[in-house]
Amino acid sequence: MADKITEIKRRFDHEAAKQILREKYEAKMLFAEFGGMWKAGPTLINILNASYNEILYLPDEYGNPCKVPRHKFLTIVNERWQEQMNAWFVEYENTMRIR
Amino acid sequence: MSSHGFMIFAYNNEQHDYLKQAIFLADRITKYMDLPVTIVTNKKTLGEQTTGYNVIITDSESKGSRRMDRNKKDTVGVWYNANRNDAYELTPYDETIVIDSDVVVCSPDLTWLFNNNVDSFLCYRDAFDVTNRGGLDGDDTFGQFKMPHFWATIIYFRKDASAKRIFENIAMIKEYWAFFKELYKFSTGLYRNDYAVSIALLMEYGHRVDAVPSVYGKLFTATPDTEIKISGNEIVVQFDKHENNTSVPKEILISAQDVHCLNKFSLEKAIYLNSVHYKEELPF
Repeated sequence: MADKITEIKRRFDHEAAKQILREKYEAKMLFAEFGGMWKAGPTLINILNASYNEILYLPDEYGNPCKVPRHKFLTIVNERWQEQMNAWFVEYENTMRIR
Repeated sequence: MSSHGFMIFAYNNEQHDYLKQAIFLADRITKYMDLPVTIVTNKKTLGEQTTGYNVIITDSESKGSRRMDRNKKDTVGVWYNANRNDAYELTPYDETIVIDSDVVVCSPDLTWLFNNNVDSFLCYRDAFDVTNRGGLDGDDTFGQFKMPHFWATIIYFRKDASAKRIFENIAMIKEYWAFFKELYKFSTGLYRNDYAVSIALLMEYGHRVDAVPSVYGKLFTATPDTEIKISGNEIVVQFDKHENNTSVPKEILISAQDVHCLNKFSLEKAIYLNSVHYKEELPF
């Protein structure tokens, strides 16, 4: 009976769930391309947008310089960023609905 | 094209059926990543069972016993954890992920490790307590000198000279464990893979702490005082949280995320419930 009462009293921990989502999607932003490991995000998108040259040399997440074609790479980074942010948003909305 | 695969070490003891955990994990790796799995075990553990996976039979030495549930006296079991360094010689793959049997795989996330073009040996540097109570804060470093603690729960390696050296160093550290215990001033006399891997990595990179590469992100971990329930790619973690001087029972839902479950008793219960196709309704 005590177990049942504990079970009924259980409440969803929103703070922990929010933190989990943040950690989870931070990791999911990582991807391999053009011989390097990259993290999709505003910084990388801005660098690619602000540059003029078609071929760029950028350090990846592990500090290794890589040669990347700007436009093609920008498309990939944008797709990754939007896809994961969208999933994050949907999951966040669902989590907040749990009462 | 190099071959990729997973490797799970499973040696049963008095308390836990690690082989059952390994088969459950192998099934999930197949489901989410469709990659080959090799289970490393011994004749005593395997018995007459068939696993459906590639099996390598080799004995593991034990470096001691420990309490499998730290709160219960009658849960002492022999810990067969001392032959991970054989992974380099045993693996049938060019690139391997050695994974503990208590990891619940719920996503294909680990496949990105195989696309890493640079580093030949990677494991997690940080673990994250999924209940957000900071239950693993003390495990960030080890020993009196606060050396960085790497987690041997999931190890990626590629067969090359650097990985070979790291595994040889792990074997050497295991052999001279008492010496390294004194050198790094840590309290546990029991051999721990995490410490051995951490020391071997530090040796490989010349003790330059920031130079050691690790898996991006954090190892999601459910601490030993949590209970878990598994349904598809969702895990419910139940725990007690101290709020206003009282202990409040709480739970969280984790979906499409791999989780390292330290409460093996709870994991085995969850595996049993899954194996009998018990369809537990999630509370949401």
